[in-house]
Amino acid sequence: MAKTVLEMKGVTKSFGATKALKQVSIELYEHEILAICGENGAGKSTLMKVLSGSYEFGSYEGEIRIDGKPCVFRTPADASAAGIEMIYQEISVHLDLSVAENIFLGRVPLRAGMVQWKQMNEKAKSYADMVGLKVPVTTHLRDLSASQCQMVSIARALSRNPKILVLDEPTSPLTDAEVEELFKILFRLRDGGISCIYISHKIREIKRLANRVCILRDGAHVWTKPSDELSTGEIVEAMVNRKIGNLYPKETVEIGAEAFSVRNLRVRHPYNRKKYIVDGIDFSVRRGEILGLVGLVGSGRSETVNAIFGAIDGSYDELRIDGEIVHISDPRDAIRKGLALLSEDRKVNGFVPTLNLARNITLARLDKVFRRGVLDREAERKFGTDYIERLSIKANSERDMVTSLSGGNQQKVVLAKWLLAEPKVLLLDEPTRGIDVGAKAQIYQIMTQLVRQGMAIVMISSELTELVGMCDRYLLLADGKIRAELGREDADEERFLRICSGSNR
Amino acid sequence: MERKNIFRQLLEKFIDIREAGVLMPLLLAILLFSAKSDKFLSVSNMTNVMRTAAFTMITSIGQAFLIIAGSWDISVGAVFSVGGVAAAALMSYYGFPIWAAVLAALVVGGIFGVFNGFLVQKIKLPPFIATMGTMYVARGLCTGYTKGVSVYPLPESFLGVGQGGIPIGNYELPYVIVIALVMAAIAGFALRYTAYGRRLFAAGGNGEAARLAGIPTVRVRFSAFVLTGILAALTGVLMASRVGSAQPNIGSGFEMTVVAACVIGGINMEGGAGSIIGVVMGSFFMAMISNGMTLIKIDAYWQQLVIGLVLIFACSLEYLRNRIRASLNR
Repeated sequence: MAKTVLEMKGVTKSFGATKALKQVSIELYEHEILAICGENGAGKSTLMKVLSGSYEFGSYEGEIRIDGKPCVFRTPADASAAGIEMIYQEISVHLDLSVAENIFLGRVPLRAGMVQWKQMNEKAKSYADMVGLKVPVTTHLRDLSASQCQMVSIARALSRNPKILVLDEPTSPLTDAEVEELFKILFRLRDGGISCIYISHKIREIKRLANRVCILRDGAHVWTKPSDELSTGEIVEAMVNRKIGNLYPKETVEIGAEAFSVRNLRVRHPYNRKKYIVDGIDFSVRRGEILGLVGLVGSGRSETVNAIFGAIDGSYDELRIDGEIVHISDPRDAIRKGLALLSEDRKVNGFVPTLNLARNITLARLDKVFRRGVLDREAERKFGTDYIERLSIKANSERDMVTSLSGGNQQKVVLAKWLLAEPKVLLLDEPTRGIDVGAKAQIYQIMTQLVRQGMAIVMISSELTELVGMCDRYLLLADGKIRAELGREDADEERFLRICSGSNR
Repeated sequence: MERKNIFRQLLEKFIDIREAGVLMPLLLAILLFSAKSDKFLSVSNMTNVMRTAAFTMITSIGQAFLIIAGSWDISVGAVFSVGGVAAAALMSYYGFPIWAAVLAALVVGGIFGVFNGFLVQKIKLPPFIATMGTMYVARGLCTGYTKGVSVYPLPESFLGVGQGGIPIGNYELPYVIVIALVMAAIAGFALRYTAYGRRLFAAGGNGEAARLAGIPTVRVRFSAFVLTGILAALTGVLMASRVGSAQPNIGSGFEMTVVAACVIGGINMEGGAGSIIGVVMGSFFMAMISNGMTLIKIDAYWQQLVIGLVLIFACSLEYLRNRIRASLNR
């Protein structure tokens, strides 16, 4: 029996009334890579934040033991001192510092207040060698590739002498060849005595890499099993295993003419210019149809709609709206030509917090409230009150600040803004993220009404159940390419996950 | 209990007023100055204060638009000098007609605005750095061209604009005040009741959300930079007319007076909130405080201290507002 390095026992973490983790227990052995899998929102990140000290000791229930000794982590520094190092999905390095400076960030060797450059560079070299980074340690990170930057973060983690390395989706900015490199390093570290926790929903990777697999679902631990006994199907089934209720008011409406199409859409990866995050996508959507873009985080689904809308740079061979070839230069242009995009992160770019509800609703169509450039206050008030009623937004008046509303009502305000713009094609990126079930149901109702009126909708969601419930047709994306197209009759969460996690290839 | 509720309601109403930060010290200062000095509230003194405020106000209107749209400009003091020198030199050295010289000066101000807009919006320099660079460039042009010497004499009819006024009985209302108030009225209307004003607020409140809603945020901020440049130059022209010559160094420190007037008047430095009435009050306050303190014989060397404290108070109220409201509702 292998020695247990880390034990987390009965961890429960609540946010208000919702329990993000329910009595989760995991064990990590010496010389082991443990994969933690689950859908978005299953509790993986929350569990790791408990482990890393991001959630202060006492803000959760349960116990953490390292080498059998109970630990109290009040800050990430405490966890680091106990030998736990985290490596995140987003590359978290300083681009204008050298490799050595990044590795020793915050712990630069000093003598009498002077940086000991020679000593630092020598030490840094040894850690860089450990991860197989073959560039001079004085190189600035701006001159390195995405994978080399990721290697630097690992070297930094190693320089702190960790017992346990936690990697959260480390491969999403990497190309296939770079992933291979990373795996080699992880195997070497494992054999050298550093245990790893590896968080991912890419099942293909997990099966190659992990010794054991732990499944979380809805904040609860499902099981932990050795990976060589597992089939892909078993993993997927355990991750999903949910029944579709009657939350979804799906109606069969008549599918009309083609409303939108795009050919050979491409978008470059923001960190890695050699890689395309959207790599030649073709699709079309018809009036009355809800098309689901299915894919994991990093599959290029969000970038697809953002590039179409002109919100980020992308290229395409041809784009048609209502059969007409058009070119879209920016969001302003997109709105004028009949597109609307409800963007992914409501709080970041969904609304203007300093403007009231009515003014946010009318923001995309100022021409409707400014007659010859001058404000028609009555029109503004009317649009506000109309949409409060139509979308049953819970607010005292149209002059309320958006920030004073609940998440679901905020989302309805954002949706109202786009409905007022009268688009032909509505792009919805995570329209129900972070809102309660009641508001979700209302948003589904609204979507149903819209397609009945002949609108075309493209929908992105991490909640596969809602995609299964609402869409007529599905495009399955992985690594920026369309991997499959399925009809409503073939919609099945397990199948989605299997194709999108690349385990079919 | 009942009384407490009324007090709370009043307090709540009061902190809801954006301009509360300036209103309170403004009223207090008026009370204090008028109690200690008979001259303070006299027509001639108030005219003086208003005239000083008018210069600050004109440039502050542009600055306010820019801050509301989410940027700012510290080159206004230098552009103010350039505007005065350009107009004066064209009239005095090259014999341009007044209207052409003034127009040319405004164009020069506008060009500085375009330059700032380009640096901030296209090159994406931080506004502080970009406009500081422009400030030195403009100052350098000014002092280099004039060798630090004032430009004069100026045509008699030109001096009439800055020195004359509209006669009302025995009283003469200076043109400068009229110009500033008319501009404030137009700007106030534009900000509240036109699509352009709404775009400024949206661009500063959440630029990315505004961009995704089809607001041309880059163009909107650009236009505010140009407007600020033009208004700064106009202020310089009026100042030259008022003092009878264009002085190359007159604008030093003016940029801070302008930013202070905006901030004291409740323009949020983070963008997306503010009003022109606040700018009017802020400008008036800045002019009044030094005038009043001089009248009640407070050493001029101490005056900046008071301005600093008021600035801090006005801004703190803005940031504390939500916390005060939350504690009232508890």
